[in-house]
Amino acid sequence: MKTSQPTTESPKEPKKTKRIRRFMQKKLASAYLLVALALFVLVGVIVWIIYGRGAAYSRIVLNQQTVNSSVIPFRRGTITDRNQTVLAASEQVYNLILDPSVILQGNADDQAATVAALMNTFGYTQEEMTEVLTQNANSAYVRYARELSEEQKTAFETYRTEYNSGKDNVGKVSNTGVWFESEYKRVYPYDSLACTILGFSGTDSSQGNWGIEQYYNSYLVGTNGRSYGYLNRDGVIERTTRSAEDGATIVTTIDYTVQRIVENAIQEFIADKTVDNVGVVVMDPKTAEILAMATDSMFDLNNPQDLSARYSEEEISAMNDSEKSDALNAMWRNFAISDTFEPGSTAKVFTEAAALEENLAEADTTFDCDGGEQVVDRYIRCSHRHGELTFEEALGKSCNDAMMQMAKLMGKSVFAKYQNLFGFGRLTGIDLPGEASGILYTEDKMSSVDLATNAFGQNFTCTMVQMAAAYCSVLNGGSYYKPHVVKEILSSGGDVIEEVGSTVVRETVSKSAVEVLKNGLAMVVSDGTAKNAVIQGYTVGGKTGTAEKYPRGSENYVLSFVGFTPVEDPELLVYVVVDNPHSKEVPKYTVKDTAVPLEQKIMRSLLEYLNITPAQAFDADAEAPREPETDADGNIIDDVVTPAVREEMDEEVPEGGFVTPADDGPPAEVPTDAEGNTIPAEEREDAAEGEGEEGEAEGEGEAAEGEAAEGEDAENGEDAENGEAAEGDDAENDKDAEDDAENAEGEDEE
Amino acid sequence: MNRAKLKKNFLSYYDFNLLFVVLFLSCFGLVMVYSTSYYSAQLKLGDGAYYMKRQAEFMVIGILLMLWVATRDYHAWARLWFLGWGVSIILMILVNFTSFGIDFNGKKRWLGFNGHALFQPTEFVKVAMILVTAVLISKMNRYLGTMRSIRMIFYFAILPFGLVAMNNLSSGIIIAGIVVGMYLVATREKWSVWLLTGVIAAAVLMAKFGTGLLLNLPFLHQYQLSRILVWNHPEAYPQSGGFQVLQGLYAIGSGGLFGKGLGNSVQKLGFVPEAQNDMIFSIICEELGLFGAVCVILLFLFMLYRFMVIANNAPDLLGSMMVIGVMAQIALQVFLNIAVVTNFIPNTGVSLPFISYGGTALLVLLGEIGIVLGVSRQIQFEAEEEESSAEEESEPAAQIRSITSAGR
Repeated sequence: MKTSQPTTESPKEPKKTKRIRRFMQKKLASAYLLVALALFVLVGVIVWIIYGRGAAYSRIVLNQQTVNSSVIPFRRGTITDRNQTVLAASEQVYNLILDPSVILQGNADDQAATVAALMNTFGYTQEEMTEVLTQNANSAYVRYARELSEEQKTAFETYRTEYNSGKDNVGKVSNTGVWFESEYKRVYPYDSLACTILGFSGTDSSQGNWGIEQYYNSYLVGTNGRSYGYLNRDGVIERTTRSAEDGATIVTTIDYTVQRIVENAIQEFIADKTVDNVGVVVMDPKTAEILAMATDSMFDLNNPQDLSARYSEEEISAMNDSEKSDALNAMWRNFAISDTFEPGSTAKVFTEAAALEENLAEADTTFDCDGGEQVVDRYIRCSHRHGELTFEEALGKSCNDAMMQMAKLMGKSVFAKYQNLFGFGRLTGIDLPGEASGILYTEDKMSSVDLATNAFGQNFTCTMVQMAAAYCSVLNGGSYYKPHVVKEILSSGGDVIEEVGSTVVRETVSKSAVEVLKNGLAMVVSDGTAKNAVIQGYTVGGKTGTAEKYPRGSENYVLSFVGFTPVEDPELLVYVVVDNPHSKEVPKYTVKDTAVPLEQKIMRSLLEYLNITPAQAFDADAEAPREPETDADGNIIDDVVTPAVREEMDEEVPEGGFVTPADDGPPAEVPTDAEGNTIPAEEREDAAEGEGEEGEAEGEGEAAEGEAAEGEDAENGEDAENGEAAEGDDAENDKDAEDDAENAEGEDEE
Repeated sequence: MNRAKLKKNFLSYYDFNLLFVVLFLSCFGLVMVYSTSYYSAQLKLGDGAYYMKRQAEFMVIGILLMLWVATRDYHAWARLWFLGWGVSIILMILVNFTSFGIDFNGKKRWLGFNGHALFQPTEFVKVAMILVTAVLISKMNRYLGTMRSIRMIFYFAILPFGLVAMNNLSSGIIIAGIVVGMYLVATREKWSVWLLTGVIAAAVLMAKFGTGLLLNLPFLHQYQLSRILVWNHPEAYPQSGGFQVLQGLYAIGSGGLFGKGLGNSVQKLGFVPEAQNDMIFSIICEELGLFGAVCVILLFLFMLYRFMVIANNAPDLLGSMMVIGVMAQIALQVFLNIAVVTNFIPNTGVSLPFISYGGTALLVLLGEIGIVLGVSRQIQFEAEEEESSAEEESEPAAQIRSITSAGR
């Protein structure tokens, strides 16, 4: 030890300083060891407690928890429409909790009184009660009945109070042995209304499935409160309660009345036909607020697991679990945002917008439609030989040729840029789960044929909400708003927590271009392919679209119509998509007898409700010739490259004889996109050339004949190509597997 | 004595081991106070961090106090011994017999004004008694160990002890333990150690098996008696006195080897009352398990070991005795606290040093550590102090090395 060290250095001085002595150090060391020993004894005690009593103590700890504390559930937030109409709310219900261990502690009279009380107020039988009490004799918590109403709860409690205060009654009804636990139950007052938008929430109110219930779940849930009791040092039970925090209220942009009108119109529409899907989106073009969004697939939100609307009893019982879940998911799926399809001619407006913006065309630029366009190795036809068309007419008459010319002028990169600008191929960011993005050709993968067909809406896919949002941006003067279904979020107390509102994502087109485009769209209704969309007293614009589904030639179409009003300052947009309509009575549905009248009917019903002022001037000057009846003339023409061309003039096309010009029939199937190779089968090339020449040489009617004559060959060619297309699709899977899968309805069959 | 030289050399030795373990335990304590008190503080005060924040304030002040105290010469504190003794008695009289004493849970333990509690004077009495005993022992020369020395210490100790034990037996026991412990280390004779051990053992045995006898002892308060009964059979009193003890045991037992994880105690949710105070160790066991408990105990043992090293190398007996006094206090409190929590001894309110919530206790403890650090800084200077600055520069440095290496 160091004590000796200083001594050697200064021999005389240290003796003065009294230092700790060696025996003290020894004692200190033994004291230290004693303390260490004592502490290790305590460690031993802890070990004994943990390993000797741990299991029993852990059980006690858990038991104490359930006995002494209870959860106070939060109320899940309410969902309302834009006018505060409640679309989804949580109602307080009660669970009947029995505590047999307490009930059986009472004497025979008390037990009998308690059982009698339960029997009298809830109608249980003596046997039931005896059984539950004897089987759970040691349990303190039996949830005997669920979802009792407030009245039932009060009835029991009143009975108990009265019985127990009555002097002549024998025994007492147990106070602590029977109690009620409060719980919330999700209620959708209008059952299936807006089912795909709202989604649903089950007994677990912290979870939402689909729609707003899922997307805004974090706002809708609150925080559970807790009531807990403990015994203080003096053995008195203290009970502390922390109340629950309820979820926020979601105010949607949906309008109950609009949604109802739309849903009724769809149900009426599908009553006499079969369809794969019908989707309707109603938006305010100025803000991209969605006023209504509905599909033909309706289910009861109060009972979302019920498949009986779609399947028979036998079919349901025959399903295994995965089939059942597939069927449920198909029913819950929101076609308007989750399914993609080729839009068809509705996309033409974006080709024109690009041409205007890039100064490649002006309102008075004219295009010469000679019935089609030779693109590399194939001839892509227009619906008609339109002759000379102004820029606006090109849209009004839905001329494919003019679109192809414009696309050629701007080239792939500009075209791809505008597709992107209008939001195709990317998510719109709508506040609903499960949005799909569709498939586009990127600039480097796009062949000239792709460019030509994309120009009139073929050969790429999009969702309804993408198309509707892109249209809104054109109609409101060039601002692309994020489409949305929620307006604001209110706290449970009613204060605004968050204004979701309208956000401009980007600018798409200039105001001057918008005016030109709106004239073109107005022409579609006044003098084009959608004459039966006219509504008396209003200026209506719009655009039809017809796209044949895969496999081409199967006569399955996606028919669509985007309508809006008033043309001068659009306030309302209604977009209708009818996917694959068929019925026994009508051999073939066209856009003019499906999407257009459905849109017209919905819009007409909405105008008055939404207080949109009629346009008198337009009314006087142009109404008469645009009676919806004109459609009976068969003059209504749509505009598709595919065999759908035949819808132009039915009488001129021999039954079954109409042939797809080899190149535009299956544009989407052209394997070039994936393989970078634009050379198709040789025979097809020949056929296309021959046909192209004929088409050019002859008039409209004869063109149809020419097609008829070469029908066989061309069909073969198409078949041959379908094989290749399958490969192409495989390659594409790598690129965008998910979207591809969603697109399966179009491409699978091959 | 030239101060410049002293200062320079002071900086050259500092017990960073001790400093570190003190800071670590204080910070750990802060975390545990937060964990244990969050739930009840949130419920009752609306601010879950309330206790943690208050403790953090005291901790910051305490650390500054500790560092400042360490810079002073410890002899300066020793000179205050008689003043400290007098003030202790005055404070205890104020608490016990005047309206300045504020009672919580039926016991007058706080000194304050109009019901606003300021501090617990018993904590102050502990420091004062350490100083008093250290000074007395270092002043006794030859008669250390004789009856005279015992009488001398007894006279000084009996009054503060009695005044403290009146309302707070556990603090009284600690004060007695400090004084007796210091004296026993300082004396040569051994019989007193055995006597003491025998008395404690007899008391324990009587408490354990002679409950009937205890009931007739006049000097025990009713609450003390019931605690002994509870200690014997906590399960028999689950609703009354045994509640706290039992809940603490449940917490320890349910923790297992590695515990439920920091912050995951369920026993703190209203079952272990005021878990941030005396019962904090049970929640440490519940959340961090046996592993965490052993770690905490080892940290305390390491701290005590540093005290012993400093005491052995202190420049004079006064310094050694002061360190031993602090050592005795911390050792006793740690032992008693853990023993109570594990129901090894009857329930008595002793807080776990540096970890339990309590501003006065933390402040005083950190001040005491300041004194110990002050002693440690002077370890190597006894040679120079006598001899002035003729010494070679390298000489002290070599001593420091030898001290530090000896210390390890």
